[in-house]
Amino acid sequence: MVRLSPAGRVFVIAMFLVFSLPFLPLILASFAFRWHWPELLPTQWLWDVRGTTPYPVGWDYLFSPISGLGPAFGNTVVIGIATAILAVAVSLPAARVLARYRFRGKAVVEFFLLVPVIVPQIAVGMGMLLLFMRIGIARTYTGIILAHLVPTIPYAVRIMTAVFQNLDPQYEEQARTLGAGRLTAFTRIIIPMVMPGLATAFLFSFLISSNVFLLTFLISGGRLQTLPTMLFSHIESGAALDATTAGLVLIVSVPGLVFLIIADWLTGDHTALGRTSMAPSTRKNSV
Amino acid sequence: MTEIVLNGVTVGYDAEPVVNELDLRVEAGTLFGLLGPSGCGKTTILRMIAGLLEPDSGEILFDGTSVLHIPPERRRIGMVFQQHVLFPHMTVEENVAFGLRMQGVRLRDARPRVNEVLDLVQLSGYNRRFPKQLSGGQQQRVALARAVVTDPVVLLLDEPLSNLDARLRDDMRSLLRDVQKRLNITTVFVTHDQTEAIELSDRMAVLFTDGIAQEGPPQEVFEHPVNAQVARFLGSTNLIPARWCGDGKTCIETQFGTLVLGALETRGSEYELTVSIRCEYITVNSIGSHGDQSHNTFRGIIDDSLYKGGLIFYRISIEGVSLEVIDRSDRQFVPGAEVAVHFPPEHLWIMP
Repeated sequence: MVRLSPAGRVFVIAMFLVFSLPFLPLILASFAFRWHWPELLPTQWLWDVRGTTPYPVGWDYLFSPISGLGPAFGNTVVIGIATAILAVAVSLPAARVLARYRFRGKAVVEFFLLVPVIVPQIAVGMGMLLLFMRIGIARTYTGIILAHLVPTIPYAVRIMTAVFQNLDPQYEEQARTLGAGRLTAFTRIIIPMVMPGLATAFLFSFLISSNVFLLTFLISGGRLQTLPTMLFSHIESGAALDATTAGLVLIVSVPGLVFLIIADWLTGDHTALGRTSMAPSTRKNSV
Repeated sequence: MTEIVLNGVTVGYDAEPVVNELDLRVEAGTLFGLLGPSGCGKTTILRMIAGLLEPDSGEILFDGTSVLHIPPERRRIGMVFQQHVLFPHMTVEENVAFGLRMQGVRLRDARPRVNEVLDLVQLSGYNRRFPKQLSGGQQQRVALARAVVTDPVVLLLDEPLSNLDARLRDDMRSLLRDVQKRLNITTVFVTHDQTEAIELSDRMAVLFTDGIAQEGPPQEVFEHPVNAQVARFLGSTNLIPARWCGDGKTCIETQFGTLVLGALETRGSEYELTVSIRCEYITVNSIGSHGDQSHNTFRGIIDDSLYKGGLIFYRISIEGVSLEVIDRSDRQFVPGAEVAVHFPPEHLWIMP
């Protein structure tokens, strides 16, 4: 641990405020029943009107079964984890090849990995929807997860490629000379050594997936709700920032925060994993 | 004990041969050094013996049997790499036991053998440390222990001493020799450092980009280099142009006078020749001292002298011929001094 200089401390506090201040009005709004401009604070709080409204509002509404928050939260987490696992599984071998070998058409492969980031999601989404309807996986978990791979794989591949570029191929060769076959060398030596990078790629994929609105909206056709689609349905209905929407926005941030904390703990210096992970240095500074 | 033979081995990247038609024989149980400048393909040869690289053509035989189609994990070799030698996520014990674990031995059952080889490299009790907690020399020794734990038939070392500082190199050098002799394992190591090759090997080969220039016991290679390239690569030497005396092969004529040879020379019939003498073998005395009248002694002028802890490096000119001399005596001549320079006949080597 380094002691920060006074200027450094000011900087850290400023950064903290920049990132946390936007949440303050959200938290206030999520408990406000009446909060009109130019009032600095809500004039009427939720607990003032609790029980007097014809249907539950704010947190009461969100946590009641009619809101559908539970299934949406569950869908987001399940789809996010499945997407992240698949994205990492696909990018792991791809990144290893991209980092280590020069081959014909490598530039083309690298370009196509970027295409989904450049092309508007609506174009990708419409194309996928047409295809998925043909083969009967539109409006299914499978369809949504496959669609989510489009924006996640480019990032996962990029992260893992950087990790493999920092990993000396000699580790694998040493394992081979010590009697490990290709597969064993990969699972026993390579995987543990790229673990911090792998965790980062997993985290990023999950975060991206849990924020995707358009692709989910198109493929699910409204049948499967995730937190982003639920949030957008509230926003489009005109109530810009009522207590319910504000609460929903806060909840949408939860999976990301939880995973950030988990990833930090996984790759941090206080675990056996972090203590010995010397080769790939993508952790922390890229999070 | 296994004999390694390479027959006409050729390999290249992008159609550019790195190793071309190489023949090499390493006798069973010897410690064989491959010495060469970087880029001469010595590490490539090591990787081919290990099975990490497949030759484009040629044969690699262990005890007369081709190993070309055997993958590295089944060649029964041990290899110590030049850098990043240990698996960082494993303890010393887990690193050393890795080879045994790959054979299906449980860590618990592998422990006695692990301790045995750790003892061999003088690192008993380091079992639970992580590589990061060890010095470079210790890491290198753990890597050596890990490479020999499975009783491989061939041990391969890539620049085993190059990442160590001077004192550690000496320790590691004697440890390597000791371990190799005790296990009696056929060992090939590559290096770009001539001292390392000379001090460590039983036999050595000097390798340049066009192939092996000379192969033999270190002393022979050092004292009787086959050409100027080998002579220069093996350290400080003087190459003096000369021609045979009229009377035959007992003496040679140089620019500064006649040099008498130690033995009757039978090789080489060309009129023009090059004589080589190592800097360490030329002696320097003050004028008028005992050796003054003998053969092979000439008057020279000290151009430059440099004291390097026990050794004095001179640049001396005799009749315009500049020579480098390393002297071991305790008196140092200053530049400009006139000295008697003696060339011991037994150390004059006519380049073939």
